[in-house]
Amino acid sequence: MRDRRFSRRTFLQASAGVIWAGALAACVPATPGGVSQPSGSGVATSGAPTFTFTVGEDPRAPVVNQLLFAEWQEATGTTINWNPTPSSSVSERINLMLSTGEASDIFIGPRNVINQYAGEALLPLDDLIAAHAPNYSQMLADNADEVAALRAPDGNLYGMWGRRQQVYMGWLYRKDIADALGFTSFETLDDWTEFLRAAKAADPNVHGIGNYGDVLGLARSLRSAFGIHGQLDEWITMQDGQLVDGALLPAAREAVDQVRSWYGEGLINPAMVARVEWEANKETWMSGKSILGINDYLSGLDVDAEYRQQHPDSAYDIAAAVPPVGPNGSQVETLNLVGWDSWGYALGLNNPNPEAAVAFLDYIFSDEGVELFWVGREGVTFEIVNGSYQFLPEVLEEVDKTIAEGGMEPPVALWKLYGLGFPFFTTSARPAPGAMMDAYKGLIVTEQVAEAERMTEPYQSEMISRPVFTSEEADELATLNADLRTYRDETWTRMIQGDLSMDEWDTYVAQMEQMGARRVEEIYNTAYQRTYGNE
Amino acid sequence: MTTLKARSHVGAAPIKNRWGSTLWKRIVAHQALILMFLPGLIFFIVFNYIPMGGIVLAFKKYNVLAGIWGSEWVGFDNFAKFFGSYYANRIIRNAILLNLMTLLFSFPMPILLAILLNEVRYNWFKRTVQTITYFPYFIAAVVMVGIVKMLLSPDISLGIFNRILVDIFRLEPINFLARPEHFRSIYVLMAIWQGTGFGAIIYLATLASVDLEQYEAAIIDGANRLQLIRYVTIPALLPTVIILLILSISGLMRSGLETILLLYSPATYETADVIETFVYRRGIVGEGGGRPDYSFATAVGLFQSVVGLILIVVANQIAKKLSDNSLW
Repeated sequence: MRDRRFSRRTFLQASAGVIWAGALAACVPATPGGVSQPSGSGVATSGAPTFTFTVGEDPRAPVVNQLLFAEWQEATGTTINWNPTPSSSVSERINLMLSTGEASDIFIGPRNVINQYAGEALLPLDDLIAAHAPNYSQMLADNADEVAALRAPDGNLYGMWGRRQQVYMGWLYRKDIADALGFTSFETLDDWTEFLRAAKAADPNVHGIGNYGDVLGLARSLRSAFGIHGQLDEWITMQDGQLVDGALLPAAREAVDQVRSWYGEGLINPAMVARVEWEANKETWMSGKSILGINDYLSGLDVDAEYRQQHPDSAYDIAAAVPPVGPNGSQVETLNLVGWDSWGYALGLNNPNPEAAVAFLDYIFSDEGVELFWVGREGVTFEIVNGSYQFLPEVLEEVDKTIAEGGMEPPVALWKLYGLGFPFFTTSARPAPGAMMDAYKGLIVTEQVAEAERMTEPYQSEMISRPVFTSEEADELATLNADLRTYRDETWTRMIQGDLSMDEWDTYVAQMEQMGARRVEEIYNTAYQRTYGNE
Repeated sequence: MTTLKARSHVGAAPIKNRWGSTLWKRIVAHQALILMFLPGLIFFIVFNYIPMGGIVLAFKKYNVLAGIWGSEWVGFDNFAKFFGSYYANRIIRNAILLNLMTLLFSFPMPILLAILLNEVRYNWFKRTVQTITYFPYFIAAVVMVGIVKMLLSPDISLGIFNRILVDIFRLEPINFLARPEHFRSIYVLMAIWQGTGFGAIIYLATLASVDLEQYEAAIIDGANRLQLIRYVTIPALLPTVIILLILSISGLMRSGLETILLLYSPATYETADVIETFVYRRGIVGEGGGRPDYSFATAVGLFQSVVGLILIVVANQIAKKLSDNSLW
């Protein structure tokens, strides 16, 4: 009996031990592959700095591959402890990191988040850039009139932002269908409407307009056709030197009415009343249902190549078109994504060696850094032919092979094989000279897309400089806009669907005013005056 | 009487001196069991109770540098922001209606399935149905919504429901996901599809413990199949049903954020916008120019929890009075 009791107790004690061991093991932080170490791990024993660096990562190609960073680490003895985060959730990770005051030594994050947490969790960079970043200082000087928009409410710079140079958006259409129906020129919105009607009459299965996004985005894309120009936040525009909410203007009514009219005639992919995701939109183009993309990604032209590869004998042909003019002769503009990138490098408050970190980041913006970032090393990854950069044939061959084997896009393959570019979370770098970008034509940017970019470039929206809001202003805007945008989006969708008459427009404007739309304008103008004076 | 309180005393010897040597002896005697229990206790303290201190955030304006405790007190400002919103009434109404509908239509389904499966004589059939019905529970919300979007697509080449409407009933296709009047039905049907099989497991486990002699006695008394269900099966299930119902009622203010977020659009805000989605747009994403407002999100979360607590207490009291079954 004694033995039996002893045995039971031993068993229970052993079980408790196992549970405790499991619990303790679960509490020990994982250290996979030595990828991350605690923030502020400090200067390495050799004297060279060590930084934790949080970035987004595509699991198919490890972030540590980046050639530029690898070379720079080797040259300076700097050590980076990468803290990779899946690119799909890096924004949330950065937000959480900053809101808990535990920012990495270096990280790449979105500007609105960085500037909102600026004085609380991040280091101001103005003096550091002036003293340790000659290349980036030059870039700031070259674009001095746009720098104010980068600053946080306290007037300091908290990020080192790259610049984007690619023209992304334009008007795409099925040229083969237009040709077959006798439409050779599209100068006005009405010309496009006639084309859509004719195509629908010829084939009832055709949706007509097919965009990534929803009908509200479509209305926004059309606003310039009715006289609302420039680009800031959502519908905010400049009129007579004042920032106004374009969503309250009669021109917005006309834009919404145009979308309502198309939707009513069945000339828009009906799923766009809710939302069409990227892949679903591509599917409607591949299946031939979408024949016009308004302010769509020019890279959508690549669908053409993909389709022809699958159907070699098809007449399928997508082309870009010059944006039309509206009923009153107002030129349609396309979304402008050229300029300062919205993502940039920032330093956490506990960075052990900010001077070295800024010097390290400045290398990205140097001539050598730009070359390494975009095309790698001459003779290893590229050659210069008649002044034009070209990837070596063996590089292209390897990329093709990797794409075929791994089912990945060219930028991912370039990264994986040669550590070029930073394709997953940002293009934060200095724009490459045109001759350098020649290397990408036919690989990432097809000739067709490059031609469309050239055609569309003159029609990009003019950027309206962004005012810098104080923390109180930003809070008030967030509170007001949460209701205003809900009301606007819902009302417009009901109008487009035909559930609400366009005659209710004045009621809508009155309600928006009652909900604080004019206060939003006032906040924008106050902040704009404070940021730019009477410029 | 099957209250948890009553069960907790089963097998317990009387304690003569609660804080005296008898208790110590009992602790020593059960040291191994207590050791096994401790990690769980510590887990709840660390991850469930200590974080409750963060509730103070609801009454503060959170500042990263100052931290939770050092941030400025703002009283009930965050609650005022929520209730002052133009849409406060609508999102509370939507949350309650959506959850009531889910409770009304989705809650009985696992019970019904469990009763039906209990009547099946062929084990292979029973197991097959069980596997098929609980499989959707393991499908991620994003995949589930993708499937639903495909099925309900207004494009008849993709959406099977609209194909049926057009080809069989000669009707016009309906843009289900863009019509507010259909949103609640779609959400509830998804909840039924996803949760019924998994929910039935707990009821089947309850039925497995029913003494077969009760069925035999009822059969001898002349009970037919339906009477067996009515007088044996359902009474056996009742305590479990009531406990789970009380727990479900406590969640009346909380909706499935992921599913709604993936499924809704401005076209369906009228019925689909609930507390979670509004807070997501306003408090977490920081839509509208501001940064995420964690204090606001915490205030709304606290409001939901307090309402949930009141609901569970009230439901428990009602259950206690009506049926002798309750949580405490």
